[in-house]
Amino acid sequence: MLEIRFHGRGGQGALTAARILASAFWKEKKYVLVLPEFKSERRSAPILVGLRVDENPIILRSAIYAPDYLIILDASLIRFKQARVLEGFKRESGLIILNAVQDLKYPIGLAGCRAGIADVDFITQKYGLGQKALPAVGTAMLGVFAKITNLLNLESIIEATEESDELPKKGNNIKAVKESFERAKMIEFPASDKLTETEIPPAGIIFQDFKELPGSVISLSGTAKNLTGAWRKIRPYYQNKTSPCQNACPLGNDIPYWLSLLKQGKNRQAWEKLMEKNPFPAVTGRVCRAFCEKSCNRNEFDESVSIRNLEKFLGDEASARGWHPPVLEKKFKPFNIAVVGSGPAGLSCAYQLARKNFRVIVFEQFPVLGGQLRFGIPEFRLPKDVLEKEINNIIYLGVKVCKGIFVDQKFFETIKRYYDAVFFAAGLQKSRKLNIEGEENPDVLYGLDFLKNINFGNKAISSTFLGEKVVIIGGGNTAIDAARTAKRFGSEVSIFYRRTKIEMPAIKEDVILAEKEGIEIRELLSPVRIFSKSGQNFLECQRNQPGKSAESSRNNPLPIEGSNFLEQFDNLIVAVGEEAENSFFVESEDWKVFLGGDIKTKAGTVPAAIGSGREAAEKIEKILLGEPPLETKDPQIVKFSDLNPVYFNKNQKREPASRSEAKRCFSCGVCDFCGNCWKFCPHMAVSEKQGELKINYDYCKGCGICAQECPRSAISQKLEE
Amino acid sequence: MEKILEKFRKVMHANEAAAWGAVRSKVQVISAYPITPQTTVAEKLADFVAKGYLKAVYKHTESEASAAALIMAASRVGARAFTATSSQGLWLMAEQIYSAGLRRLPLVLVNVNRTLGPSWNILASHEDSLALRDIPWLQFYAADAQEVFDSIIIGYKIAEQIYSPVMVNLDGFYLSHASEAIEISSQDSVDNFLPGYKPLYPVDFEKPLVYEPSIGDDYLTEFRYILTENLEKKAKEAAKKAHFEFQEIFGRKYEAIETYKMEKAKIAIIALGSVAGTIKSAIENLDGVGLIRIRMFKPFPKEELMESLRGVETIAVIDRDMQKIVWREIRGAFYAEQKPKLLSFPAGLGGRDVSPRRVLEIIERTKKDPVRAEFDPEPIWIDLKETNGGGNNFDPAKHPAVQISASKENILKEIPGEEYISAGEFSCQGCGMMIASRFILKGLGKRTFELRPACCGSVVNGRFPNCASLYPLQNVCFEEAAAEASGARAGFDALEIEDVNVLAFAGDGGTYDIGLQALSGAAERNDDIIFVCYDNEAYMNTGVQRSSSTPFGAWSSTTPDLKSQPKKDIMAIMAAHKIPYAATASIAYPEDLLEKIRKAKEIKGFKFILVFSSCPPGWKFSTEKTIEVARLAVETRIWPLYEIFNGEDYKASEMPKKRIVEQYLKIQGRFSHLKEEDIVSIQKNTDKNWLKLEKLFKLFQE
Repeated sequence: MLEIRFHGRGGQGALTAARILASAFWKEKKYVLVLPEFKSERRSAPILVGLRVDENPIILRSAIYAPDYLIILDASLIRFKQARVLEGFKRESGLIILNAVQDLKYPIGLAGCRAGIADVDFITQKYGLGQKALPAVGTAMLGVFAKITNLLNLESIIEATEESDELPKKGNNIKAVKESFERAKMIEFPASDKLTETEIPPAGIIFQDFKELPGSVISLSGTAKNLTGAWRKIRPYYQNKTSPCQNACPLGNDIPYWLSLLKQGKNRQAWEKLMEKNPFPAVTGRVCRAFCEKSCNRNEFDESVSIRNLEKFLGDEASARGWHPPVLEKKFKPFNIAVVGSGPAGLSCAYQLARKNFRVIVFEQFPVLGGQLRFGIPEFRLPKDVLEKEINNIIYLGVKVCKGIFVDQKFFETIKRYYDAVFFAAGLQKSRKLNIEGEENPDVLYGLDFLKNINFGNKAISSTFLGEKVVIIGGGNTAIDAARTAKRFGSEVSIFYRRTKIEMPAIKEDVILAEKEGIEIRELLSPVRIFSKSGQNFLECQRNQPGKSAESSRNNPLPIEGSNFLEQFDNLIVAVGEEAENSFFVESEDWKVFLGGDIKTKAGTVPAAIGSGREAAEKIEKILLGEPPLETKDPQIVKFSDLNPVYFNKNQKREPASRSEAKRCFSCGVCDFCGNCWKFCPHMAVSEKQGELKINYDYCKGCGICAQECPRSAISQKLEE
Repeated sequence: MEKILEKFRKVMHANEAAAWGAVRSKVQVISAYPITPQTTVAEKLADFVAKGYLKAVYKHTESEASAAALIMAASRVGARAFTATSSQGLWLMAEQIYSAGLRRLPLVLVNVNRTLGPSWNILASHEDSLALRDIPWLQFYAADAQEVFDSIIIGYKIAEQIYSPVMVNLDGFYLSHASEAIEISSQDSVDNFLPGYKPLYPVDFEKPLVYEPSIGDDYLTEFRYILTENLEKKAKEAAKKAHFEFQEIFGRKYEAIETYKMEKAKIAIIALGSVAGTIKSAIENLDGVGLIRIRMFKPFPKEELMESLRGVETIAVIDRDMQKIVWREIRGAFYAEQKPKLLSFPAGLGGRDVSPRRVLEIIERTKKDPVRAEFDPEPIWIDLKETNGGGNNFDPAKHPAVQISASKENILKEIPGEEYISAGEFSCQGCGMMIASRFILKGLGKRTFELRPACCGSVVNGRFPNCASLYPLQNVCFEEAAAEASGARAGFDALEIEDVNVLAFAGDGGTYDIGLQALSGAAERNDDIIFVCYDNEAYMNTGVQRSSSTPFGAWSSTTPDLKSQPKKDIMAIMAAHKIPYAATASIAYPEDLLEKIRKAKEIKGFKFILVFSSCPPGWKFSTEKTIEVARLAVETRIWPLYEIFNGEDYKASEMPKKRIVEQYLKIQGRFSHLKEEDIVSIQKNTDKNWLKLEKLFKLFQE
């Protein structure tokens, strides 16, 4: 008589499989008896089912105590003493049929045993049998049994499977049986003790001494010793992911983190978190193009969170309350670092290094700090006192400043010699030209120079500095700033842009403001030549039509032949980008020279400059301290479809942006302690201690509710090993 | 269809064999109530009826008493009727089946033997049917699945000949869930053996009869005499004849007792049921040891036993109960005869395995035991650990109460952090009921005494000696949660203990169906208790059988062709009782649930809270969707959240934005077979119900 014992979890199909195997043997003229040995076990709890097979009628009906074959549906059961998997198994003569991967890591107690194995979890999942958390492997295991034991034909199993009236998805089960048969391999576990891991003892209180039993059946002491974590197939774990706003932010601003603090009313902490990556929140809160808001998942729900306004709110609150960023590391670091240029990139780099207690000196060619922030952006967009306060915060950290020093090639070589590292971010100071006929006309001005003159309060500029009719060429921030500044001189201003309005790289809100202020924006126009005739200036323009471009999301305009026309102007302001004034600098880690700002990024945006400063500071820190560079992983970006939006209410932006607006933030991918995981865990496996949520893997059964009900995709799941 | 009628052989469990027995007996009315482990008999029959294997009226009742009553009347009007039950279920039927014997209704009832509770055990013992030894029925005990099938057919043959009911017993799990190859005889051959049923006194509208009117002492004795004659002499004759005829037709031989190696036996083991096979294999090679298996226990086959036991010196009776009932019967039979050594071995209780080793141990003990001439020797408990009598050594100090720990310190201030249920409980992954239970206890706090009837909650809470509930909880019978809660309150009142919440926590079976009578009673008395029903819309504990809470269109294991009746409106029933507080709640909105529990705690009188508790295995959705399903139920207005004060004032709870019911239905496997028109009709009914509620809400506002 053969004795076979199935070990599985409730829901894996052990009983059904035993019945199918019995039917298959019976088809081959054997007598069979299936003996389930379970009580009221629930889904996923360990269960066992016996099967006797004999040539003669079977009269023995007691349980199976010394099985010849073990069919183990779930290898993780072996370690659990209460699952009784190896109990009485005939180790020497017997054979195990095991659902496991080929390179099984823990053959736990199987030393010296022979086993037929196949990754039946994989096979059944492929055919959609059972649930992800609990694949229904029972029937497919019979394929492995047939192949390895050779006790019966695969056809008998397939026929018995077909005839089963308990089995759903018969077709797929049969496919799985066949595939398991194909993939089954025989392995022998070495007879080494090293492979034998400790067993997990039986759960709960066991009365060793029955003399102590109470007089009637009363339960005691809870079930804490019953480690239901053994039921788990899929493990949930807290994992913060990258929000699309943070991913889109050129300076890598930890937006959901500081918003989450702001939500809780912890404004100071929120500001400090914000300041970790951005020392200029009040500035970027005014002048950033807010890529974050464009990528905000809330756009797919109602409208984006006013991230930039919230940044401004925190920045302004900090300066109103006189908050200063703390120095992070007490220990002084004996390195001198030179920063060339006090624009957003240079100051960002100086700030990061000073916070880490490096000695930093900033060289600035002008007598004032701020670079582009100061002279490239008009007062009405960025009041000078706002800028001043944030710059002061940086200086406050102990940054030394050398103003009015232009770093030419010679001086640069000197700096290289005397400093441990150099960060070069002198910016792009030279306006790009149109390179068309007649550009040398004195009434043609350049955007950046124009703004610089005004911002520096150049005395040559009077209210009659500009003529009546001003045409601006370009679509970036400089173009809009120049146009709005020109408008303030009382001129009639139009912007000529070669693409369409929506494609303008300038901040959308500023474009709208410009139009509100009466500035005309004319789309799809390219300048061809400039000339003067009878004391009047003319710009010849060509009309474009939107072209298609495969590489870029923006259209490449196509000129329309013969569409040229003339436009009279008094002043023409060219704002089509800037370039560097000199090019003697080369980035080299060996010389410890790093580049940043527009020179490096060419992005022409404040956040990109700030980001480049921080990145360089990180590199400098690592190199100087001899630490390995930070590993960059591909960010896992949270999509709207990853969220559980039922926990969010639809509501429009709140003005002015403050805590209530912050509460609109989904906190994509970032745990904000909403407590849903704790609230909805049916198995008391989530707890909070000292402000930290924890999953207790001793009890977590792996149902997945926590991950499903996490509104913000801050819980991930993986298969248990 | 043709093939179904032919003889065939197949590997099946004894529950299926029982269902086939009913099919071949062409039973015309079937009733069933989900009691484990007979439930697969009912499920198989539901399936066979749905598939057309059997033309019968199938009724799923709300309690065991009704299951028995239903087939009794069916039998009275002339239909061959059948039911199956088990342990608690049999006892719930006790009054009915006693009366069935008196009424001489030739029913066949399959009883799956298992232990009585609470404590729930659900495994094999014979105490359920043996303790009902004296009801006016015949009792058979089968040893394998083939015998189960055959005994049902033989049962009807005998029953319909002598007009007395027959109980066919089979061991829980050892037979009910064990599978083996058996032969299902052809329909023709069974028809040949078992002609149609004619009632003893048919219902006739021309010559009307009144059945079982009341009776005085002038006649009762005579009727009782007639009945005993029938149950003894006539029954034995009929059984003999039926067994003989059965063998003629089917070739399988049965007698009142089965003997094995009794010819030269000095020691005889006597047992009932499935353990016989194990005993045979254990004594196969032992000289002088034989086995008698009593197949027909009632009427007791005294003559056959005496005959077989001639020359036997020692008899070892295996009693699968604690009262040595079989031993007593045998002792009674021997009273006037020779007096061999007669020992009782209580064994195999609550599913404890009787292995060949234990059988040999019994034989050894039998040999060693001094000759016991006394009339009533102590039973010899086999495989018994020493308990040192009566729990006198139990020291509660050695088992200190578990400290209730806060799993949460300060995230959600509005929800208490204390957990009154220990992790490590035994619920299925993603169990909705556990979430309901957690929040109810959070709302009530530790001074709560809970009465919990048979339901998922009573099983997943844990097994002796470890249970998850960290507050006092009494497990009670299925139908009496409310009555026991009333009793607990009465007790506390009598003792003048005031600051205690008395909670009844029942599933929908224990509320809508079998628990309804006690619930209605307690509600009408306005007893100061909180009755919480965690509604998972079917009998989940026993394998997803329909309840009156199962919604229209849902699959269940006893409605394979989907339920065609609407869900019972229990809230309207409770409102009709004019109780101070009734409310619906959902696990997807725990704050709302908590608020309602707190309200219930403050209100004096009877409180009823109905909590929607989604069930992943029963409703066929994957475990992580428990909350999503519950939330969709509320959003679609399938499960509106509201309160009813004093049975009249309806108040809506905060409701989310409305969605269409399809979104709720399509994520659950139990609704996957719904057709377009079914969904339309569900939407219509949901809208209608919501409209009605909205009108009631308005009424309250005015």
